[in-house]
Amino acid sequence: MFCRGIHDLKPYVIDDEYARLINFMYLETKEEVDEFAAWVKSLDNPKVQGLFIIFAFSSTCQVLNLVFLAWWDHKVNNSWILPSLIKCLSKMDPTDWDLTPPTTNVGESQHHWTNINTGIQLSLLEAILTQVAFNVTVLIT
Amino acid sequence: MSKAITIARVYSDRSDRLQYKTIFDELQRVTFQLTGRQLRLKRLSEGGSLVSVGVDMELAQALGAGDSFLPTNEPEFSQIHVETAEEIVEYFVRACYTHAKR
Repeated sequence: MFCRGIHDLKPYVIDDEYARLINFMYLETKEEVDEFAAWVKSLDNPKVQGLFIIFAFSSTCQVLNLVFLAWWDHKVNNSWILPSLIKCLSKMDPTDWDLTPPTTNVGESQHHWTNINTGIQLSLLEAILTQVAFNVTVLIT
Repeated sequence: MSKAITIARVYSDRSDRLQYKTIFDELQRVTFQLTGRQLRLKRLSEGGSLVSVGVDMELAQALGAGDSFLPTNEPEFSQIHVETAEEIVEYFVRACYTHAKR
């Protein structure tokens, strides 16, 4: 598993550092990104930058994870991640970027609404069948 | 964005990169089957209408989309000369801020 979200880092950094980390997607120029990258390195915090090993039983969907690649390395090693989060690095047309919602919240609320109406924790087949039945209900009402 | 419409829901018991590629391939196939029009990204394909793909932070999901749409790239139209999913997604994927933070 990767150390994906900044929230996971909160226990390991001081408040000022956290405030700067959480806003990295709003960096406006490549120079600011470079400066930020240099600053992350200067923290010299293996949790934030560098490879470290942790034995952890995750309570979520992940099972036993042995190696966490630290947060910034995750972003840099997967070369497309930063361009998908920081507008000035994206190769997308800036207008198209602005047209794209900054979060997937709308999709997730629709997902949640369907779940309320169909139930969760179903087998694959049950899930599909309850969804079909629900779609019919929505269509005729 | 003023309106959101769910046009498809996919139920799957796998979430690896190949599965996501299959899902996006199927979405393209079914869209053509139902509408007679190809589902294409406007940045990659002439006449394409899809502006972008919004993703959460799941690697397999974005790269599966890249695998699926890579063959639809028309380099003469797009001026994009790349050969991997990792490179092509930079042209049409925007990731969710909320997922990046939590």
